[in-house]
Amino acid sequence: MYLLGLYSLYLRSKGVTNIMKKVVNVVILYLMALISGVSAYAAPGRLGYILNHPDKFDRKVVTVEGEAIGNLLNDNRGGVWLNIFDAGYNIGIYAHKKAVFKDVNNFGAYAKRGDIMEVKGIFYKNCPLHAERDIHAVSVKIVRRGYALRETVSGYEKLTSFALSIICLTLAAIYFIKLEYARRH
Amino acid sequence: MQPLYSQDIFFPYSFNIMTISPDKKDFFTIIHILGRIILGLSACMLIPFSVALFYKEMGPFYDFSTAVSLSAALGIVLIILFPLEKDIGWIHTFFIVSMGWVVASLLGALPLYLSHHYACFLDAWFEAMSGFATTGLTLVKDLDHLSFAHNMWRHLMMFIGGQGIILASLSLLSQAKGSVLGLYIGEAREEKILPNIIATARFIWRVSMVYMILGVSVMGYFLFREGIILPKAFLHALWLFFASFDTGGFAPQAQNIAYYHSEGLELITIVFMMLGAINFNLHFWVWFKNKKEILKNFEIHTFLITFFLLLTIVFFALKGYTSLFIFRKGFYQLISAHTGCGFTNLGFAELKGMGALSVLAIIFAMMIGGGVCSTTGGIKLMRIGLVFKSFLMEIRKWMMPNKAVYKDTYHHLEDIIVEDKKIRNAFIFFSLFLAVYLGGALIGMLLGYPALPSLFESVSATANVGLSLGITSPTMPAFLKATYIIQMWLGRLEFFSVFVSLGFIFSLFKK
Repeated sequence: MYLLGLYSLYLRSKGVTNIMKKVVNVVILYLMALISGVSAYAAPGRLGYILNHPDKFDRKVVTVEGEAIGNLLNDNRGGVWLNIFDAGYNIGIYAHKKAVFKDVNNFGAYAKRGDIMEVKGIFYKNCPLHAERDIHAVSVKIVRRGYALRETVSGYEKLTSFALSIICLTLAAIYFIKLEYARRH
Repeated sequence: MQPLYSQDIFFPYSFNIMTISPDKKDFFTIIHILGRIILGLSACMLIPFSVALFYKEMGPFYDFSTAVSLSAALGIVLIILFPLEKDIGWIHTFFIVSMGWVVASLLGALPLYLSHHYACFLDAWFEAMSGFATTGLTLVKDLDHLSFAHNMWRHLMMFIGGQGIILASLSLLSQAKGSVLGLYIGEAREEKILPNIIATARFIWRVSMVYMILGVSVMGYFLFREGIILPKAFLHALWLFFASFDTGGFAPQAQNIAYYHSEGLELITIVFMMLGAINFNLHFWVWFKNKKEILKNFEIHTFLITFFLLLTIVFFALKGYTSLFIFRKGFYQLISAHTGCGFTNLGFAELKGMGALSVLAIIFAMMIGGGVCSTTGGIKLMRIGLVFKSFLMEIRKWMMPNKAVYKDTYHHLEDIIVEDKKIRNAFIFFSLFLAVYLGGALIGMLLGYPALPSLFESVSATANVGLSLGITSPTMPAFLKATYIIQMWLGRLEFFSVFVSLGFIFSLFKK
């Protein structure tokens, strides 16, 4: 992304206005992105950094931020789990009591953004209680409330779908008429 | 019952005597049948379409409406324009099987691509091929926000693929009659269970349905107890069943099976992974004939030997960890790899962190796979067993007097003499799989990835497992994505349908 930004600044400084040149430049930008393997993802945030350097943070108090995902899950030892997601990384947050997550109301799912929460807790590379990589929450703070996303379907998509349905039904009718004709003759 | 082996089928004609070349009528027949398969696929898409309707997911509703209409229209056009001009014969079956999987994955990718959760159509195609081939490698972005309908389709593809796309159509293809055996074997199933192949196909469906009711009930109960509300718990249980029994390995959440944080659920998935990896013929014998067969079976013995050997390696590699950790991480990954499922409760970094020795053990487990005539990929237990048995036989022969005649047997439903033909067949598949495993790894290395992860990913794709050390991601080079698509396809069909189809195409140029 950094490379792309530099290149677009370079284009502006050259005052590129011609449409053809713009198209060519877009293609070059795309090829540059392909060659350099630039991803559309954000750089690893705090959670990503911790998960990539587990030895550094093992059994230490950490603070991470992430979106609450799915729903609260009961643990068979009496605690509660909540999974969070941040910039392509996920981790399970464990709390001994459900009350720790009392302020979390919105969970990320289809067309829903979960609450963005800041979790302070102890990070375990290999948790002795659960035998997994987790964070045992000490406190949870809501940074941003989640919300429902409005589903938008473009008119073009609706029209394509409708037109294809009509074509499909017409073809099915032709096929059945042909079958009936073959049966009678 | 004498098992029917693929070499009897794959080499019905001796290539040094004569080869058969398809004509125009043959291609009409093939395209006609492909049209029917496409029509069947569009009917399957009605399931996620209904889910979108039920959950009022408007975007997915239009995605599936478009995909269903387009697939059905294409299917009908092919059926009308290319009439069935010949009875389906051997020559057609290889084309139908190999092309059927490509066409199904291309059309199956359509609703995924329309979901905007894939960077490009190639990624969606990768996902669809991974689903149909029951691999489980994924390129989806932001899986945690994917709709129920699209998740249903991802998992349904695994179920259809695990049962066999063509096998799924077999029960419906009235025109196929005698040639269905070729279609059945073309999908890499070596043994008939019942004398009638249609009855065999239906038996496999019946077995799967019984396990499905059982699996969804048990897993649904577990998930409900975890606090997931009932309709969602049911859907998750259904998807986890598809992924475990059909040894696919997709999951509805980005953390895969680790999302649930439940040892109990992991245990249940182990049971279904193993049931999926067992030869359907063995299921039949245990259900209807002789329960003790499970104790005597050659494939089960091979599995126990290879699994416990590899587990010992993992155990030593994870020395110093708690027994709970060794079970949840080591044992689970190994069984998931050996059965070809690909469920994981580890992140990429965690899997790498288990050490090179554990990773190597997992690679070997993935290479081997499960039983023949099961939903798994890989070299398969029967062939690995025969390859090692042939080594032992060779050693014994050297130790015997010159004129001594030595024959060994193995027990698979009955005592079978180890013949040269069977050993040759096992070695052919062993070598082919090994070549593709190494070839894929080499391509990965040429593209700049380290050796061990390249081998891991290549084996995972070819053996249709789905475990990953992190190479498989939307940012990997397009060439590598295409390589893995081909590996998944070849591995699932066990090469010969594809090779014979290519042979027929080359024969056209010779004309």
